[in-house]
Amino acid sequence: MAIFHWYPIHDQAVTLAVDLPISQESFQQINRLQKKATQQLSTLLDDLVPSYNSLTLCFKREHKWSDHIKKIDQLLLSLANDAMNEIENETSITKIPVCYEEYFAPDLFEISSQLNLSKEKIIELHSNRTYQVYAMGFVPGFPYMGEINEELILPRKAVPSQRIKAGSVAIANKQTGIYPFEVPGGWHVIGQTPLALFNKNRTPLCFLQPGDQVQFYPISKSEFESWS
Amino acid sequence: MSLFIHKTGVQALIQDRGRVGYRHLGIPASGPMDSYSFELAQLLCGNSGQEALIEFTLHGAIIEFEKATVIALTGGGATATINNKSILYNIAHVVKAGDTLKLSPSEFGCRTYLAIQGGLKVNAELGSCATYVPAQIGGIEGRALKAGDRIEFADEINNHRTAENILIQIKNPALERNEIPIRIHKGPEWGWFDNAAQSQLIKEKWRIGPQSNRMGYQLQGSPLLLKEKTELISTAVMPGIIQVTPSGMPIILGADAQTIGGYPRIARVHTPDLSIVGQCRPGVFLQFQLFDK
Repeated sequence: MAIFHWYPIHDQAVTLAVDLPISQESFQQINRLQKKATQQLSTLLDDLVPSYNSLTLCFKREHKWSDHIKKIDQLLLSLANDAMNEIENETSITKIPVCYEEYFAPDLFEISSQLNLSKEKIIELHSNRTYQVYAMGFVPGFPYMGEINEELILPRKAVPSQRIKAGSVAIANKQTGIYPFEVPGGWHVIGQTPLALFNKNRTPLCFLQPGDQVQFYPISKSEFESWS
Repeated sequence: MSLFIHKTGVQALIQDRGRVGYRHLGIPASGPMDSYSFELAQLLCGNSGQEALIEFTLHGAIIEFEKATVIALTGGGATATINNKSILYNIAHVVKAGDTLKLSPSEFGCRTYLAIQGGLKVNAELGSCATYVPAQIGGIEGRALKAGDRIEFADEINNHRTAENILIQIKNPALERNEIPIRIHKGPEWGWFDNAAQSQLIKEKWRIGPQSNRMGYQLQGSPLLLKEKTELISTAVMPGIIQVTPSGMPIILGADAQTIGGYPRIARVHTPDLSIVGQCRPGVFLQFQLFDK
């Protein structure tokens, strides 16, 4: 059985984490927890923030988490007493074009030598599997996806890059993600997509949602430049 | 007729209490860095606290009021004059058409809040007027204010609702000195750091680095080392979290910080003390105290 523990990260927020590595199982557990928390606590909450193996409850400003310890315990108890739900229906796969050519992939050369893999092999390993969107965050519309092929696993950069271009597709640890805007960041950029990941004037605001399945496919520089 | 920005100073942002309900999409709440001063400014001019106001960083702003209203300034980082005559913070003032507010340098503090009775008339975006510059949401066109901006505000002056004769005495160490005690709680990854790093976090005087902004305060000191190199699975973070980058330097997350992070969280600032952090300027030293030993 999955074991949950929880801890505060703010007066108005607690994180409930499951002791599982990044996996479909952790995703299902968090998904289940999110549904239960929404049913039981929605009147107290402003927001629920899922991630790979955790769910964070953000209480409304007039509530502190410390006033509701009993309810948090009850939530976890009800989860433990409940049979595991059926696995969700398979969702369709969202295909995302990526140009992996040098101009769009500032870190590809460097990690090619760190991983001792050719650039072609890295591109193949990155684009030949389907990823799960586990969480949205860091900045608006940034999808945290996993897991990447074990051969591509690298720690984050020791010193973050000051400027990463919008649309940059990057990897770090077991994760892959896409930077929606130009921001500083610590992941290794291996390509760029011409798609807009976030648009405040669009519904939904984000191109991807937690739970989506994603696959990348390579495009050329000229395809990237003529993308509309 | 409205409020006219002649100069913004270092930075001027329209803020309200913040944008709630969008963290799961990666959109932080934003809102004031010093919520205590924010609420006080609103209260002094008879507002409910829901209104939009301006958060100024340090000095340099010159603002002209094109019609009469009631205003209040709170926080710090500047000294204020109206028509070149000094005025106090933490008390309401009646201003008339043509009056000009100027923020000049001061020794302590970092952010001044200018509240106007009835609030600024700005369109809300995703439920809030708070400016979040990285994604260009809120405020005016999602950006910091600039010279030449004109912002409408409410017409009515309701003197019955102001606290015109009350001067509030504020105790915020960041408005008085350069070494600031900040209470912290142990963070989720406190135990990932060895005893030396844990006690160093408390003993060291951490200097606030020049790169610090509303996203985060980058602290300078000797690096904090992990017991062993471990990578955290990315999870939610909130303002006040103190995360440690692989180079060993702590960062205190601010109102515009990322919503999800992957660096170990050695500690978190006791939430009420975030209003003190928000008044600390680069160059100031922070000294952490464990709230729960």
